[in-house]
Amino acid sequence: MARKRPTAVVPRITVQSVEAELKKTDYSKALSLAARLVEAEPSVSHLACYTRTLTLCVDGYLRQGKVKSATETIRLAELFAQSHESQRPAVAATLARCGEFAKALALADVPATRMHIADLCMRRNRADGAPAEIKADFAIVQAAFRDYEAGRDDAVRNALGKIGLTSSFLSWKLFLRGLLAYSTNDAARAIENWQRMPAEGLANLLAAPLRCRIDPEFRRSLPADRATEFDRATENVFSGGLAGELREIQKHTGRDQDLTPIWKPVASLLPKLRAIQPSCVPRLASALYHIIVRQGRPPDLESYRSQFPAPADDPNYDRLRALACEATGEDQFAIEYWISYEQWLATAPAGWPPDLLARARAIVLQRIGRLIEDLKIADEAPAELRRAMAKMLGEPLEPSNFGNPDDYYRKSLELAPDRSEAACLLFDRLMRSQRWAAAERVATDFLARQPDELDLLERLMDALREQGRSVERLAIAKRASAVNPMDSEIEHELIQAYMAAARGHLFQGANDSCERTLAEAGPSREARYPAAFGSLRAILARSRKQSAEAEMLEAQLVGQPNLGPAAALYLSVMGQLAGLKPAQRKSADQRLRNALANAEPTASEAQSLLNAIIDLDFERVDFRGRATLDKKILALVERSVVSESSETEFESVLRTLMNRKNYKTVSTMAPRLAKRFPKSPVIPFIEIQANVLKSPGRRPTGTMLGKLSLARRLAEDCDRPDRSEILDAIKKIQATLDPFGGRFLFGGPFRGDPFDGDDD
Amino acid sequence: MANPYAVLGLSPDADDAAVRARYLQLTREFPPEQHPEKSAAVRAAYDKLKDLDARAEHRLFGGADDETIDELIDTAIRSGPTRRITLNELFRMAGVSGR
Amino acid sequence: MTDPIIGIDLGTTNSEVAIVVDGQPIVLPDESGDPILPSIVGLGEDGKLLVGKPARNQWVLAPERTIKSIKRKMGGEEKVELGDSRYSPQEISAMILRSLKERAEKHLGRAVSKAVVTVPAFFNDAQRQATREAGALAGMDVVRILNEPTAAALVYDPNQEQRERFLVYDLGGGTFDVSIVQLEAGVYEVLASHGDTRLGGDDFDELLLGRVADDFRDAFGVDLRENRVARARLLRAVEDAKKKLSDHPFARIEEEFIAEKDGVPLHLSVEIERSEFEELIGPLLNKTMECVQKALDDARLTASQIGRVVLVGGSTRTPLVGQLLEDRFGQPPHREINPDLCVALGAAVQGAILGAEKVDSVLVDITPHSLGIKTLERPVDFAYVPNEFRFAPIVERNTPLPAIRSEVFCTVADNQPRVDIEVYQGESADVRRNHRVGKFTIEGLARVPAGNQLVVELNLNLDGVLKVTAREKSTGLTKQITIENAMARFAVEERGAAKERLERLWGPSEFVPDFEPVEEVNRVFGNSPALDPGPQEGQRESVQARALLEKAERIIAKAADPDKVELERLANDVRAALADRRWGDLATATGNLSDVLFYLEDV
Repeated sequence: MARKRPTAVVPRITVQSVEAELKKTDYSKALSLAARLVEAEPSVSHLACYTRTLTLCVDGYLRQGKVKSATETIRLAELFAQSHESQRPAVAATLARCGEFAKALALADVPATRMHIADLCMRRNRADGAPAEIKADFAIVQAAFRDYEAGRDDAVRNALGKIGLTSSFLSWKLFLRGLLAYSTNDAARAIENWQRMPAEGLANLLAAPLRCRIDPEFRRSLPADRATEFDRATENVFSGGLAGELREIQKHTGRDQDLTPIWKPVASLLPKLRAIQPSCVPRLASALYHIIVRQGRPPDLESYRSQFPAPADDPNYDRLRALACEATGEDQFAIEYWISYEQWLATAPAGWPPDLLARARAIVLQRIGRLIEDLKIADEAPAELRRAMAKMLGEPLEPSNFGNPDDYYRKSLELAPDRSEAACLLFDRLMRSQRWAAAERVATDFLARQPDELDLLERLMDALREQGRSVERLAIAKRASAVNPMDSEIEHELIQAYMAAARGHLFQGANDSCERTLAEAGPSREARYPAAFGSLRAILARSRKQSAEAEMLEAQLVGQPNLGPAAALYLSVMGQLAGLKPAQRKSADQRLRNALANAEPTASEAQSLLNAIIDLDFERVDFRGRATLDKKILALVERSVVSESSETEFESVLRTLMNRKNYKTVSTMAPRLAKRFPKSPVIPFIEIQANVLKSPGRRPTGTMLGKLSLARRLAEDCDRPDRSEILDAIKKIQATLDPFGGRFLFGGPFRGDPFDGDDD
Repeated sequence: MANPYAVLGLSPDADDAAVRARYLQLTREFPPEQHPEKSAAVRAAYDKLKDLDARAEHRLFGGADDETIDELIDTAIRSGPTRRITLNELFRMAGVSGR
Repeated sequence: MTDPIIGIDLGTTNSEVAIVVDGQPIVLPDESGDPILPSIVGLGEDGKLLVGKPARNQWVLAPERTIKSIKRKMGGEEKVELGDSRYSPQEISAMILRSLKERAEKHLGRAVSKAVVTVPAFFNDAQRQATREAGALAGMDVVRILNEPTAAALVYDPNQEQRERFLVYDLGGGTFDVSIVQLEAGVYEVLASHGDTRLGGDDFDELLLGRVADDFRDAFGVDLRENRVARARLLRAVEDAKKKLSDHPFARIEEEFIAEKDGVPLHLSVEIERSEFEELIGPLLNKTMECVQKALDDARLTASQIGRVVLVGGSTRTPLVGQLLEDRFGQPPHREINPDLCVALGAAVQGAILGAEKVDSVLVDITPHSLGIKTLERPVDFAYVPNEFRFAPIVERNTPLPAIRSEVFCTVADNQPRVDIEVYQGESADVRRNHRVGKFTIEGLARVPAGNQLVVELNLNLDGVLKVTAREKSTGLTKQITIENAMARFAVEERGAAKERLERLWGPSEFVPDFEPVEEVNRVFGNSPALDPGPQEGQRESVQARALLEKAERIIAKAADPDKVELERLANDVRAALADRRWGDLATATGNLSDVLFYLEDV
């Protein structure tokens, strides 16, 4: 391998290296490099580079206040231009811009030089030393600007008529004509004038901020921050300085920011605002009011009060404080302030139409009830937790004493009888405390006013179901269905209501009513739940002493694949409750015993049995032997593991067991199923969940975490249609169990705020 | 977004029928086809006031949308003093030294 | 007189064209008096383009040279074969549109360049854009894309002070739409829209065809679907049977020699009962009824609050449709306005509104899809990972148009310098299940802690053009994009080629208007070859040049001396070119002169 020989590195000077020095504002270095460039090869590009360097250095020195260096550089430029004719116009422009008018014209008396002289006169606001015709046009243009500022547009037009094609102020003429158009909102005409101005002229520079507001193409040609700078500057000028100060205030408005720094600018802004835009003062007050609600602290309210009068709708700042406390989660205080605010509303303050006032009070009262309810949940927390919280807070945690949320909901309902929210909240509370009759009254009262309110219709069905009033329940279900017959959930509830009503009739011996109810439900609804409805029909036949038909129906039912055990359960329970004689029930009871003793049930059989018992529990159907039944059913479900059933069937069984909180059964079945279906990601995943839920609070074991990774790997490899959902769920659990999993927030875009998480 | 009562030109005691009637009137006056921005503003204001619940919610909690600093800046810029920009201000806006 | 704006219903099966005359919309019939143009395009044996009935007539004989139901492909990338060329759905639709345009021109005796074209309310941006493209290819400016059910509602008398709500049930050949429209004091408000862009009478035909073909296969062991011609014959037969079943309890299908097996010809003879047919299409109609319920839910209305139910689209002739709706609404649906024609009539009414010939009604339409951006959802529970694909709708579906909505979002990282804004259309909370319509990045944000607020504003206009603006609250830094169409646009050059191809197929236009209609067309197809400035072109230029010279003389009179010399020189150039009829030079000379005049003319 040849060794690499070190070579002397001689930096080659290029146009780029000069540019680099210019960028670094190392002007002397740039100049010397550029000079060497020309020395090495006086090509066109090198000469241009030197001229450009000279120009930029002069500008740079002047900016830095280095007049002497600037003057020296100008000399240098003059000398250079003497010997290079091609560079004379460019150097003349530089001389003109430095005020060396005579020298500039002597070097190159071209229109561009004169334009630069004119521009400098405009910049300096004087024309001494300029040629006579420039002086004359300067006077015209100056006067035109004064006329423009005073709104004497005709005078401006007149004056501009005197600026001809050869005038050095032609670009200023275009500028002014554009301004005239701009002032009369004629953007097209303004753009037409402004886009003809020479790019290097001063007028073009001055027009840029305004042009960028009306000319999208021009705006796109600017760097984004330049356009924003222009916007900022024009805003400030247009608003008489208000925009800048308002932005200063706005800078501090945002999530979690301290508001303290805004009060000084507010104080300095207010007098100006009162003078220039008095109508904006109350609007600023309102904006700040809501900013305090979002992010303020008590001192901010004091600062606000010292500068603004109290808002008419919140004279005591109760609402502001209530909202602010809600925002910070201090619900106790929020409740207190809302109560005060509602009391103020109750005094019927001026400016509130009566109906609006009643509605506002209803909304506030409902909110108070809601907040108290949330607080009560904390009150009802286990003693251990309460002690821990009290220790943390350093004071005993007193139970809140705001009264009963029910009363607030009731008052809210009184004030706004057609609002369903309060009725629903009240109803749900009453149901939770098992006060069914009271809950029912709330719903029926409301429905008397608003007969089609589905929220209440559905709730009323629940109340009636809890009380076992199946006939009324069916009537309500039909009403709900009439409102929305396409809703699958309502349809489901309707079917259940039919079934419950038919059962009710049967249990009371009203066989004809039972028959009628079934007929009304219709065969397609019966077909949705064959075991439940079929057994009902069989028992109906039995109690009508039509044993032959009953036998046939029963045999049909029990013989149906998968439904057998469920049908046996229904037949036995229904028979018992329909008051059949022991002899009539004997065969059904035997069938159930046989079914439960089945040594190798299929997963579907297990599933249907589970569904049946879930149905009976939900419908509050109580019967002899219920207590011991669960054990037998779960034993049967466990035995189904060895059957030939499919992966999906078993997954569904496991899910049902999870819903019933039969975690122990799941953790027994899952490992055995996992051996049979080694590719299923769902089975190990459910097992982990069952283990976690079985003993909450225990640290996950290594085996569990290992199984979870296995589930994830299996999920990644599978091609099931629900693959992504499974994977998402596994990832979530992984993040929960892994102590570090949740902390990393990956890049991503950004999030909504505030975000109400209503998922479809 | 501006105060919906101001947009619709209604007093705070307007009822459902008055709000609806004004919305229809303004929609006919400013059809979406010809006045997209105005009709969108009318519609947004209408949505905030269209029934008693909306009006009560707006009066209790809705002010935050009506008056934002953004809106104020916008107003300050748009309805600023109707004088002409001076040449000196043009220099300042463009960030060009001189004068 | 302003340009007439015609209304076109570009349907899956049939199309119509209408116009408002003396305040009344009328559908324009063809020579034989038939108002309906079948939406079928074909190539004759001689390579001649066939549109409408002739195409339908040859379809059974030459299905490979005939195209039906092209509307179902609109907005997609798939092309269809016709003869030895492949055409985009836009091109095929353009052939239908052009045929309707010519029909209107014949009736009006003048050129037509503007149209309102209807689409199903549930068409997305891409499908709407494709419809526009088709219009442009047919030489028309589509001044408005109008939703079909809305169009149908416009046909009803607008001068009612009483509030009335109607439900428009529009079941066409290929699409289904349901809209709830409220009419009050001259304002039409669309309250909700739902639908399925891939469900219609064609599906009924396919189901029926499947059933008959299955039976035939079971009987003879031959699948009629495998032979294109046999399939076409069968499809036509079941179409007829379906129509017959609308008024009769049963229909017979008889097709002789439809197939052959082992040299023996096979005949098809089968009877279908209406109940059998209804059982077949029941599931599809149930789907439409679910949409009806969704529309009611979205509008927060119950069935009893619907004043009348209006049927639109030929497929609503199936009695079961009327029966299902009557069961649901407790009132017989209205069919007094021909369901085949009322969409076109409504399009004409909207054309008149746009052309300001008639302004006593206003339409407030809605967007049937939600629009929003992709966001990062902060984990609900500290332990969960954040969801990167959260869809944050800003303009919810059923929002009236034009809609301007904004929402505030925050940066998630400290010193986050940039944010990607990805705009999606759809209803799922997960953006991956929605349709991305555009993306841009706002850069150069202030170096501040996380929580920097950005206001994202969506501005959706009546044509579905979406403007998205992102603004940093504290600095006002703003970036904006306009999304006209999410899908790949019909490239301009491709459009030119398509136009040329269509012209070749068409031959010279049958209609020669009294005056020049070409300008509009050329504007749309800006890349058509530069025209040789013939005498006609020169005429226009010389008129312009003379006007310019007059203006120059006026200004010269007032100009200062040195300017006069320059102006005279330029004016003389113009005069010379004009005198010598050098049109090319004239254009240059007038350009120079008007350029200089600009500096001197009065403001």
